Amino acid sequence: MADVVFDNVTRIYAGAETPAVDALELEIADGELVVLVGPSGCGKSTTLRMLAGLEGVDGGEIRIGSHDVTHVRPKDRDIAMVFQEYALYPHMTVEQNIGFHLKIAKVPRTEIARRVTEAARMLDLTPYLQRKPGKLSGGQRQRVAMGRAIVREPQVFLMDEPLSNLDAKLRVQTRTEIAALQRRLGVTTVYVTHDQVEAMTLGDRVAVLDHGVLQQFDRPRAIFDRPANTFVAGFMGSPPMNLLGGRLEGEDVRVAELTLPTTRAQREALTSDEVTVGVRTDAFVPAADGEAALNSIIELVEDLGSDAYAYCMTDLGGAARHLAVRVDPDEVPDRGAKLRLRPRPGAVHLFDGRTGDRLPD
Amino acid sequence: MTTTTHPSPQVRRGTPAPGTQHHGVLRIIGTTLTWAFASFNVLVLLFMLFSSFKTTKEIFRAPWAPPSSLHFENWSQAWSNGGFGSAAVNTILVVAASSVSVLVIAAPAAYALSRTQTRLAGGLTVFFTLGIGIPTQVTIIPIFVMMAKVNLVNNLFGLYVVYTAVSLPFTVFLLTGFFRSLPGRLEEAAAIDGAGVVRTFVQIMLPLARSGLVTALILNIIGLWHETLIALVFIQDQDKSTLSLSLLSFMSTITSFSDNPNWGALFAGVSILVLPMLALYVWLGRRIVEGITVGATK
Amino acid sequence: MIREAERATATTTAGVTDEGAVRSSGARSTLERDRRRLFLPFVLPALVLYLVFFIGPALAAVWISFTRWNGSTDAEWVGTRNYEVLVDDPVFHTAFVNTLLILVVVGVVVFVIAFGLTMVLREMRGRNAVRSILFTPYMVSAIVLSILWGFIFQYDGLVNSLLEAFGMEPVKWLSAGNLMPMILLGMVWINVGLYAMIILAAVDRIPNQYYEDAALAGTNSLQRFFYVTLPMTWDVVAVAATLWTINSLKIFEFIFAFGGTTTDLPSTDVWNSALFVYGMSFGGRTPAYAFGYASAAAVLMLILFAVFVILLRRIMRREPIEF
Ligand SMILES: Nc1ncnc2c1ncn2[C@@H]1O[C@H](COP(=O)(O)OP(=O)(O)OP(=O)(O)O)[C@@H](O)[C@H]1O
Ligand SMILES: [Mg+2]
Repeated sequence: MADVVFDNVTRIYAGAETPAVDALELEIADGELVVLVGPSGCGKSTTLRMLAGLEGVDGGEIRIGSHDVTHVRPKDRDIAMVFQEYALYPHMTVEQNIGFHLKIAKVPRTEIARRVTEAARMLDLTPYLQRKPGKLSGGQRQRVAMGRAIVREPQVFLMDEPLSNLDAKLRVQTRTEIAALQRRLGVTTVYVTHDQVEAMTLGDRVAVLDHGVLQQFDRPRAIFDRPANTFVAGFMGSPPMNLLGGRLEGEDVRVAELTLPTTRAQREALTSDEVTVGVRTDAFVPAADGEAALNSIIELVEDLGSDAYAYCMTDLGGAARHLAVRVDPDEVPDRGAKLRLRPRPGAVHLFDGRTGDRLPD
Repeated sequence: MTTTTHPSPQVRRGTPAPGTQHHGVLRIIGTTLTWAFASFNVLVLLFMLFSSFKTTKEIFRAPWAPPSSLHFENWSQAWSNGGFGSAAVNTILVVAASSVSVLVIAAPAAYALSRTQTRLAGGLTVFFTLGIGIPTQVTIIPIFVMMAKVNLVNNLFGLYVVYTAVSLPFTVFLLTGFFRSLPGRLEEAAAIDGAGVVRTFVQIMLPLARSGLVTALILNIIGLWHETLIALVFIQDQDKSTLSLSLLSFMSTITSFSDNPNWGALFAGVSILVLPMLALYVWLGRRIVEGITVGATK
Repeated sequence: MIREAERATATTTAGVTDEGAVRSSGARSTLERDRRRLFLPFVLPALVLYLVFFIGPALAAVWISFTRWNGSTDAEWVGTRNYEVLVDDPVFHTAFVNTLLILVVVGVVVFVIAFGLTMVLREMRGRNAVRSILFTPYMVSAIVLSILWGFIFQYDGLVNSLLEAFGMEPVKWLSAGNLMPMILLGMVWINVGLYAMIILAAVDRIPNQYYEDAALAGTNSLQRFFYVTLPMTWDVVAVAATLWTINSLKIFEFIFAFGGTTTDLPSTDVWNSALFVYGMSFGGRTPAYAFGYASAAAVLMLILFAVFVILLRRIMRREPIEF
């Protein structure tokens, strides 16, 4: 078992102007499951592949269990990887696929058989050992790929969107299984996904990347409760947090009719008088008559049964903006209905309007 | 801890992954041999081109050097005395006519074979494919006798007929595969719009299959341009000869009938045969390679 | 938990296929009916041409092979005489051996080099240029390649001029004993490009993740070849091998021009099957017009090669792989 450290790691692809991963600092504890999440092209796969040794490192250092592995070959890093498309060899049986790495590593045959049987049992693959991957369902293939990683008994598991080829239902189930398996084996795991629900449910900690730059690295709850900047706030959560442009007037931030108080520390941290106000969908309450409010008209209602969201058009002092608001699923308002909304006090996130950084609480 | 320098933004070559950069002896040998092989091909073609402008003496004295002066008379000698001029016209005519005709005949057949899921269609597809495996040496005697009966021997029209026929199995094979890869939806849409099968074929499938047809056309042009055995058997008269035949007879003239053979003129003749196809390759190389490999890899 | 969901997906997929099967075997659409009606008119011209120029002649060749015939007088039925003579004919023996030499020796060397090239070209700089250049012999007439090949190895040719430039003794590359090896070597030269290109096209379609997983496993390049490249290109290699078998029997021009001209045939030492047939029928200063005998040779070789192709396909058959 080992911890993993990215120390100021940078990757610049041949011919690229900007780094795909820029000065990444990440310390992953032994046995931890860390999820890398971010929009497409943000450098998640690149990060993972550098850790695997499939991609060169242009600056900085990667350590696994305090060994510098930056220039170590993939096979000597004591890692196992689950690929997005699984990379199961179509001409080998499930058994041969799972045992392939051990065979190449010249592990004795009896030992290979033992570990493969064990992994197959753990993953419910025993009946399929003699089949070829072409004749397996998507979920079974995914488990074979897991099996191939498990039998290596590595220090670190790497998984690059291992569930993206499964249908939605299977994805949720397999997600739980992976989490359970990882906790049971206690192997440090780096897991890449672009699905923020997956990230929040699976990770001990979540690293949010954008344009190759680490935005926030924290426990899922903390990322949800205290997003480090407007990018994280707008990326995590579904629907994501509403971000409204406001302006500092005196000691308050003004958004349309609303005035929101600020602390002195917040005012001092501001780089200009522009403030971005973040309000989660569930942080709106109806405003009483005469109270300052955001006047909104419902354009679309999404009723999911246990949840319902109203997508409104809101007048923000001349400029129209869309707002997503969670409404009571038992009393779903109609399209075209008018809402007068105000954020619950204390449930407002304030960000610097220029830099996007979170203002101190 | 080792100190690492942050790469400057002008670094354009990303650091390769660890372990991929070891230059094994085998790899170096392999790369060297590959380059040597490629250079050999280029040099041989350059040699051909250079020699076509040289005197025989110069060819032997400095075979690898560029020509010291351009002896265009080699080319004119090959063109007129060697009969390459008339042969070029014959070849172009026959090859063009045959490669177009075979398309006209093969395309409807390939379309019908690829779109009809009956046992007959399946059997016929295999039946046509068998023809690819029948070499000319087996059929040429009966074909010769048959064509002689209808007076189409030593006759360019006869050659055109035979060329069209021998190109058929490969063309049907290639186009059947191609039509099969086209989506069936469009035909269904056309049928809903009330187009009959013939109209669907001509107005919808043929335009869609254009790239496949062009590939087949090019491959047949290449194959027939180089054809020799049938031409040797069917054509006797000098004025009806194709480029391949002209080259062979020119070679026999200059090697056996003169004490001072003009090799420069021979290479000019060789170039006349080679350059059009090389030009075609430079122009459409990618498509040619894809066309040839797609049949095997599909 | 997972199991259930999978079963659910499995049944839905099965449902879809069943439905599809019903649709195609059930009532035919008008489109389908029209298509059937026009099947014959579409196929007929090609079929007639094919029967007249391939199947008819091939059957006729079999018949002719049992006769003595010069094409003008009446054919005389001689039974299996032609085949009996063939078996004892030293010229045919040479041609037979040469044909097999080309098939096996050139074939093996071409495929080994082609695979070597794919391994080198996968990770080489300038690979696209090299690929295009290696393919050029396909675009050049075999006659021309043969003439150039001869010129290169002539006693006063290119190779010896290079040897002399390095102070070495010139070699008689084209002495009688060397002729066939030089022809075989030349055939390797002109054929490698095509087969390398076919195999490369297949190698290019192997998803890179297999090579990455193989790198994680710690394979060396030979293991990568045997565990990834070869099994995943096997279908294509099998097709290419069949193609080579067929093409190798058709080889004519390269040998013919390597010492022969329109009037003269090359030495019988270098004849292969196609040259034998040509030499026994139309070729040479005074053509033999031994149509029966030539046809017997052609038919015999075709049967042999057909058997070979069938065996080859059977031996090389694998379960088709799906990525
Ligand atoms: N081999 C490569 N050569 C050059 N640029 C590359 C290469 N691989 C990735 N990139 C670039 O690097 C950036 C990061 O790519 P990466 O694959 O890490 O993204 P990602 O976060 O995994 O995205 P996705 O969710 O779409 O998989 C992208 O801008 C991409 O275009
Ligand atoms: Mg990715």
